[in-house]
Amino acid sequence: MSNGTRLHLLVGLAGSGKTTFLAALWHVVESGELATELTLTALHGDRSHVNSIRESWLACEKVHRTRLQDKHEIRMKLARGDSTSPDEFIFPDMSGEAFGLAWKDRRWPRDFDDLVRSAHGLLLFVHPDVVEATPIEVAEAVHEELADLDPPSLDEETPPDVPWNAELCPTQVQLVELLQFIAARRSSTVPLRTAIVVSAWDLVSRQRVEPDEWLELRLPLLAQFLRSNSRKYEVGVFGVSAQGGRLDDESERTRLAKSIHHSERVLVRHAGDDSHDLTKLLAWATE
Amino acid sequence: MSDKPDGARGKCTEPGCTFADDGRCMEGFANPLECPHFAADSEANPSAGSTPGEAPDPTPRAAVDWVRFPAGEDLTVTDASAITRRLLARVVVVAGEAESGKTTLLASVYDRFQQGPCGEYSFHASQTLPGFERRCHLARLASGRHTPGMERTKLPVRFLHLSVARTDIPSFPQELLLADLSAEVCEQIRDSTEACQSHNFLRRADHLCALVDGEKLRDPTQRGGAVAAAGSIVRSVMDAGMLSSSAHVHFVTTKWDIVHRDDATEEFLAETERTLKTRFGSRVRQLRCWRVAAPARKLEESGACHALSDLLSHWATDTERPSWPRWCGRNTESDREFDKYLDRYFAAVERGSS
Repeated sequence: MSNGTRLHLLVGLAGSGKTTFLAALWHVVESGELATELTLTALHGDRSHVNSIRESWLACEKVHRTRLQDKHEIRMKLARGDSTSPDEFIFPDMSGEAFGLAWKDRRWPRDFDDLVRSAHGLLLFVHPDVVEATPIEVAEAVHEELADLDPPSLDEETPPDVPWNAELCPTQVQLVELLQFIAARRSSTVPLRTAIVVSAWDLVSRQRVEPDEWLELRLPLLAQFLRSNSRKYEVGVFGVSAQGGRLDDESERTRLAKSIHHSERVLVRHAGDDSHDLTKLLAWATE
Repeated sequence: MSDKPDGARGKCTEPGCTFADDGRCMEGFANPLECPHFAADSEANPSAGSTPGEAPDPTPRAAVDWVRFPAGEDLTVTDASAITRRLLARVVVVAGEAESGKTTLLASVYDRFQQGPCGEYSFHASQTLPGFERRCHLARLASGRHTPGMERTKLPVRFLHLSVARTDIPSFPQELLLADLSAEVCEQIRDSTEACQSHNFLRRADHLCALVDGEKLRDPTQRGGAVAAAGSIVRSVMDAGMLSSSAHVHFVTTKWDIVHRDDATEEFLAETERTLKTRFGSRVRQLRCWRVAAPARKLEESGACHALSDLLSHWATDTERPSWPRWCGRNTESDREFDKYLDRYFAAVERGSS
C-alpha cells in the first residue's frame, strides 16, 4: 500500500449500518453541501457501487444489504483543510453476515485476513437493537412483581429447551470475539485506531446519553474489553444516524425525502458535540 | 424453470432464499457450494476439522483459502498446559458432588461481566467464549426456560480461560484457568489416592474450591454427607501429595439463596465452617469459607451472602505469583530440543520441591 493510502475496515454484524454509512459518507463528501473536515479532492476509480447505494439513500429507501458474495471496495481521496496532499481512503464494503459467520464458524477468508493485517483503522458498527444476555431471574422477578395481578403460572407450561447455538449469543460477546480475532492476526504493536459507531443514533438520542455512556450501559462487556485492551485498540465512540430518522415511519420518511440538503439528514454525536459531518470520524481516525 | 448448477444438491438454510425454487443463491454465489448457508446432500464431504482444537468445517465448500481460529470451546489439559507455559496463569479447580453447582459457579463469574465489572475487576479476554456461553445458555431467557438450568458436565476435565484486569490497572491482566470437573472425576479424586494422583493438573492448582451443596444443608439427613463429601475431596488431594504448598483452599457453600433464611441451617453451617478451619487450616497456606448464591445478586447487595466478586478477587490476587511458568505436564506436541530440555528441567524441579 502506498504512502497516503489508508485502509479502514468497516466491521459489524448484519444490519449494523455499514453500507448506509458509506452511502451517506459519499453524498456528504461529493455533494459539497457542507463544510467538512475532510474534502474530496478528485473522483477516481469505479464508482458504480457507491453511486448505486447513494441513490437508494437519497430516495430514503433502505440501502440493500450487502450479500456474502459481494466484494466492493470504495475509494475516496480526501484531504484536510487546505492541504493539497490527500489521503486515499479505502473501505471494503463487506456483508455483516460474514462477521456473524466468523464468530459461528471460527474462520474467515484469507483475502479478508490480508485486509485485517494491513488496516490503518477500524470502524466497528453496532445497531442499538442489541441481543442481550437476559437471565431467567429477570422473568422471575417480573412475575413476582405482577403476583397481585394473578398472572399465569410459569410452571403451567414447560416448553422444550431451545438448544444452544452461536447465533443466540449476546451481541457484545460476538463483537468481543471479532476484536480478539482481529488483534490475534495483527503483528503491529501500534494500537489500532478504532471508531465505535453506534448507528441509528436517532433511536437513542432521546435518551440523552452520550455514545460512550450508551456503550457502558448496553454493551458493558465490550466496554470493559476495550478499556483493558488499550494497547491494542485506541477507541473513540460516535453516535451516527446516517438516515436521519426511521424509514419505516411514513411521515418521517416523507419529511426526510423533502430535505433540500440531504447531508443535513445525517447526525453525528461525539464528545458532546453534534454535527452532520461524517468525515469527522475519518479525521479522528487519522489523527 | 430452475437451472441448478451441476452437483449442487442440497438445500439452503437461510430464510428467504429461493435456491430451492429457482436455483439462485440469495448471497450471490454462482456455485452454491461456496455459500456458507448451503447444506449439501453429499455424504462424501467430511465435516471434521483439519487439526484438533479447531472448529470443524460446517458444510462442504469449494476450495477457499481460510484462516481458522480455535474452536473456543473447553480447553483440554494439554491446551491448558500450553497456556501455563506461555503466561503466568492461576489455576482454579472447582470440585464437588453431582449437582452441587460447580459449573454454575464458573458460568456465573463469567456472566457477571456481561452486566459490568465484577468488583474491582474488568473483563480483559477469554479464549473460551463459546465454552462459557454454552454453559450460561440454560440460565437465560433465550433458552425458553422458565427456571434456570445448567448443562451437565460430561467430559472429565476441561478448562475455561478468563483473563481479568484490575479496573484501575487495565494493562496488567491476570489469567485464570478454571477447571470444570465432572462429578465422576470428583468422585474418583475423593475415593482413590491412585486416581487422585493420576490427575496431574491438581499439582498446578493455585486454588482448590470444594463445594458444599447448600440445598442439602436444609435436610438433616443429607447435610452431614454434603459436608463430608467436600472435606473428603480436600483431604484426599492433600494426602495424595497433590496439593501445592502455596495453594489456597476454599469451602464454598452454594445455593445460599434457598438456605439463608433458615436459622438452624445457618447455625449448623457456622459450626461446620469452624470445624473445617480447625481440621485443615494448619495444613494449607490459606483456607476460606464462602457462601454464594450464583445468580442472586440481590442477596449479595443485602449482605446475606458473599459476593462473587470477592471470590474472583481472591482467585486473581491470592497465592504467590510464580517467578517462572510452572510445569503442567510433558509437552508431547513439540520435537524441539529446547522444549525437551524444559520438560526434563521442570520435571526435576517438581521432584525436588515435592
